[in-house]
Amino acid sequence: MVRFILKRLGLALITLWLLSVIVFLLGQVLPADPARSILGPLAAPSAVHVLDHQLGVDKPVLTQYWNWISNFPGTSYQYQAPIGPILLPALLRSLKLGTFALIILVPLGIIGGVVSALNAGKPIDKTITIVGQSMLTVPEFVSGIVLIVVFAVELGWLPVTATAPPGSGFFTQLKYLILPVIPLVMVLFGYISRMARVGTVEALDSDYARTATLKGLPRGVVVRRHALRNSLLPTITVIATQTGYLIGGLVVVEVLFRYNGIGELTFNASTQHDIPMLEACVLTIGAFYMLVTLVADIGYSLLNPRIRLKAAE
Amino acid sequence: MSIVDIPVEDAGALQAGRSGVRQEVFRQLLRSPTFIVGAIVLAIWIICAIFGPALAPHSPYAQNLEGINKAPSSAHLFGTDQLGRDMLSRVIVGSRDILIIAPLATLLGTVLGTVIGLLMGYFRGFVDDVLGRFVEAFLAIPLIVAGMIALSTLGRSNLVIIIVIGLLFTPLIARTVRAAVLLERELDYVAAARLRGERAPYIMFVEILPNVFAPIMVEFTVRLAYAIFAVLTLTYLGLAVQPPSPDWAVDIQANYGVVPAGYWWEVLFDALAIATLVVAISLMSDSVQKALEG
Amino acid sequence: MTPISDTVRREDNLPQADALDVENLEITYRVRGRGLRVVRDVSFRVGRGESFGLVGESGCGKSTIALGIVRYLARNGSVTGGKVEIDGRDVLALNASDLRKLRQNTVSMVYQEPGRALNPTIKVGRQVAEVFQLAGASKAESLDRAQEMLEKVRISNPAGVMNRYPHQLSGGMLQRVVIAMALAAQPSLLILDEPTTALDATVEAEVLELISALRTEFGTSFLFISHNLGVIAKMCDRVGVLYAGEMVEEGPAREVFANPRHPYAVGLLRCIPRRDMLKANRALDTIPGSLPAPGDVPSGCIFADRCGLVEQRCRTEAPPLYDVDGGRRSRCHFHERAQTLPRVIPPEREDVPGERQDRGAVLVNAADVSKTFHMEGETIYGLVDVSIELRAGETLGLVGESGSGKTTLARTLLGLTAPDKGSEITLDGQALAETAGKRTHEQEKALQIVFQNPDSALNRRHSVQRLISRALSRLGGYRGEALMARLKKLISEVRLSERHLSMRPAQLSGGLKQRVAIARAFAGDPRIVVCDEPTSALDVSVQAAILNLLNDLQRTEDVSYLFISHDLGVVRYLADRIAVLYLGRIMELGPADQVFNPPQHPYTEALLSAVPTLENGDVERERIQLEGEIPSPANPPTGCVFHTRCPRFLGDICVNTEPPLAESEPGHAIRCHIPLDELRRLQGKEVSVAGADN
Repeated sequence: MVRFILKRLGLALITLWLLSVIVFLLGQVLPADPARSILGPLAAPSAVHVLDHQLGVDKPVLTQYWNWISNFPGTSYQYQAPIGPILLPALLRSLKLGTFALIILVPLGIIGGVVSALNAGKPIDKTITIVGQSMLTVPEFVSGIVLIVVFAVELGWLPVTATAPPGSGFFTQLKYLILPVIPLVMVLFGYISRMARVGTVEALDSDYARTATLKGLPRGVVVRRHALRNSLLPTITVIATQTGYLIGGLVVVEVLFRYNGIGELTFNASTQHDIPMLEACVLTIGAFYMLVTLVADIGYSLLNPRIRLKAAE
Repeated sequence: MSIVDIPVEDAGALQAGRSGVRQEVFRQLLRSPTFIVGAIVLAIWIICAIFGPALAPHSPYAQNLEGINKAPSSAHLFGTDQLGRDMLSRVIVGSRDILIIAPLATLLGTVLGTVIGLLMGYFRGFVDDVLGRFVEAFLAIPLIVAGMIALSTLGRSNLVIIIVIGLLFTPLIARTVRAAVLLERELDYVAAARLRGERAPYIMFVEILPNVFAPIMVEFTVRLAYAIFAVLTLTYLGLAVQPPSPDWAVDIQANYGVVPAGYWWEVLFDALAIATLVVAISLMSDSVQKALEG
Repeated sequence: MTPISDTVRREDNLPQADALDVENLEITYRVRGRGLRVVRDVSFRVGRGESFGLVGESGCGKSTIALGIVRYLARNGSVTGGKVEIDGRDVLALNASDLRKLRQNTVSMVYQEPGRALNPTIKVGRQVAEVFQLAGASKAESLDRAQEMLEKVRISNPAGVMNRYPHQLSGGMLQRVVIAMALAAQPSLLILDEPTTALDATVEAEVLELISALRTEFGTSFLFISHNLGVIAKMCDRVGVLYAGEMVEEGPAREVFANPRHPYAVGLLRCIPRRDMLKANRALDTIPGSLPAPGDVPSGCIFADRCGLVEQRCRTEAPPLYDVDGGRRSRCHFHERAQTLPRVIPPEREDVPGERQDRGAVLVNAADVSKTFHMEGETIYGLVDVSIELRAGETLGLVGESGSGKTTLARTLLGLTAPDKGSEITLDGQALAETAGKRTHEQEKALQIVFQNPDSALNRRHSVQRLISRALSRLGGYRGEALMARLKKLISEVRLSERHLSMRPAQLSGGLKQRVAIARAFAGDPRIVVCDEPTSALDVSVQAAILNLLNDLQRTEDVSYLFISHDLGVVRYLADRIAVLYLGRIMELGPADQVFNPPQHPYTEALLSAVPTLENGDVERERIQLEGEIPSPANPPTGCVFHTRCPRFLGDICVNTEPPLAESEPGHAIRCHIPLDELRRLQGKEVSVAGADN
């Protein structure tokens, strides 16, 4: 079993390394003139030249890469400060928001999907499906704006930003996070509930569900003990992949609600052309997402007897 | 006694009424209300995109500083914005960019993804492992985030958006295609082809590809909806097309600030346009998926 | 209506209703808005302790009837007419709660694929125990009783098996578990839907034995569903023959199979190769035409379009089930003269060059072919030192169960799988490269294959014309006019028409698809065609036509066949020589009549006795029991690999030393430590080619 995990970990590390190469290419190799993109079209050529030299553009590519990696996360250009102490708290704040979203999204999505499946064809099924489908087509910035306008500006029930004043208690912080979380949940609910529905329907139509029913087991038992165990397993993988979209949505929501998470950090870095910061953020996000997928993969393997037993041999 | 004289097996062997799989799929689609609704809405927007300037009652760029922030009226069905420009015209013409960029990006991703998926699925082994690492690496970056870094360093142009989205769709589509190819290659017709001495490109593109067309179609339509989504989001974030171009997301970004003042029409119609387009694509993609599965 | 008590004791001599009483059952499926009556006017009864068989080809509705009886039809299916009573209870009128109780206590079902019938994420023991828990036992007690049930179904390590997951058990083991689960509640009626179709012959024999024994022990009534007439003949007292959703004949099994009274049954039985039939002297008869589309109900007799005895009356007046003497029924106006049904294919073949004789020169020589697979840390011995030769114009039959290596051998000969180093395969004395891609064009042309499953073997996106033309141009080198001419000739040789050329495989029936596959294989004028279970996926009536076709092609094109099949009846009919494989080794090799009669390898002997045939007659055949499961090719036994199950096990020599494949008579080799004379003595007197067994 340990070998299995180590192998997965090893593969993930290779992918992580590849990811760093891609980010490096995007940030420093592909742009014709990194210093120019940082300073903008109006800067003097001499200033650009100096910055280029500072950034090490004239050095061989491999040296540049090594410099970057060994000094990771490096120094932010716009803040003129080490990136680490800025990045880490931002990451944690985003984690808070993202986790909150997941805590609401996952149970809601799964319950929605299962209820749909159990009542396939009936009005409740159609309602959940249509609601899910419509919500997922509205980009976060659209729903976010609508929510702000309605609930924060007009009705005044909830705050406009997501950042609670420093020193606020847990529940106050939560109140500030409610509005930002809603667009995130809205967008992903449709997909998760659909996957849960499909998986559950498949499980209910399976031969083993037939066996269970023909044994005389009550429907509830067939659903809980037999169908759901099998249908919810793949949902783990689905949720892990959806985290990618969640992160994308997180960026928009953080910008909209002025929340100092890693999304807003990345956005600012992008508009300010702070390449080092941008690279650091993107790599961190990528690494984090890979971690999530890895954990989901291992979790799935542990829960699926076929794979678990094979790995243990 | 030779076999020639013995009566042939009957024509009743044909399955009743099936004149061909493709016609069957089309017929089913045309009968599906969701598909028709989606197609109609999409068609409307395509017409807007192509004939925009001709259809628009005013020029989307024409400013009228005396008529700013006017509510919807018979002269301006969607009202005017902060610079007095007609919202209706801007909405109509705003469909153009998105309907060019998103499909092109999706097409790029689909073609690349199909090729890579075929290679990975057919050859497996070393090729699969190496390409797989790249696929996973690209998959690890959320689209919006990749868009941010690419647009920032490579410049804000439609070409960059198309390439970035296309490249980031590639691994997603490659993954689906690979899974389908893995299943197909185990079927005996592939073995029969090898026994005829067919080479790998022939087997991949002539034998296997037609059979994995269905999942590719589904992927295309699903990704298209997300491409629209992503382009709009990137535009909203100010990373893509800039004002004064009429673009739904641009307008929302620009006019969002005045909504509390009560000028809701400056944002709502663009939002509705976005919603209807994405819904239309989603409806169509769902119907396509159902038709190809059933 | 008698209420069901939860513990029906069969020892009490209370008058009891039939286990199952079905009257005028009609089942309809709604497809695309239309209602298709797939089962019509089916009536039969299964008495207490009786075993009733439902037999028929695909589309006859037998599985639908089974699901309809327990009210588990698909969402678009419903029982639209008739009555079903189990133990005197009207099943169709039960509410949900009573239906559940009925399923729990009175009726159980066993399915075709046991692996899928069990929940993959729950241990097997718990699933069996669930039945007892449902009846009210505590968790601990139900686990104990579950283990007892596993012992009853002759699982050798019940405690170990209890803790396993379904994917860790073999097919035979899984089916025993499912049977245990089904009988745990001691139901009055047990429905078995193709329970052994997915199992190997020797395992199937064991499971069928088990089922018979349990029937006696528990006194349960059986509804046994199968397409295999031999199995039904063996297991059932009475049988009902179904055709396209209607019951066309019913009666005591032995009599129906010996003396059918409906043209369909007559035709069906003539399609099956019998012991005394050899390809050389007797062609298989076929049933002309094909099945009607589901739900297509004509005004007259359902079988009229295909019946050789058809008259005007048949088309206008649908026959009822007539009573025939001896408690039998037949749905034919002319049931008295059903046996006079004219043959479609005359039995005698005139231009036969003679019986199985020594064929021509050696074409393919495989020497010391081995194939070892390395998968996920396991070493699987697919083939071990197999040497065979294939001669011109002959049919070599390859026989064996799972893990025997017969498909692997075929694949290595064809070049689809590369054999291990040291293996030598030659064609006409020239070495064949290990993979097809590296072989010469001539070599590619010479060796072709007809696969088992035409759905998999034909590219479903290509038209028939394209499928065959590609082979013609690639392998045969034909172009333009010559290609079209040859295409037309090929089409007519396989009994297809030009109308089929533009169609895709999905529009063709199984038999037609297989003809396309055969045409494709013959496109390049091959000299050797591997037939890998070419008729296993087809109905019996279609199979006969395909076998006849293969036979005729062999003569006109002068090809050799490597014929792989698990159906010993078919192999016996077609093969000149036979190789019997077990766990990657040849156990016996020789002319067909010598292999199929004593003296023979103990495995061959057991295999033959395991196959349920229709020739039982009144003779009680001695069944050779094989203990246990087929060992896994990843873990073969030492010495003689068959020693773990061999009923003629000698002792240490069998455990320690692998016997060589020794020629006992010219051309006939057996891999066994027991000397030939001894085998001859043990297995009974030597018998002639066409005689009866034991």
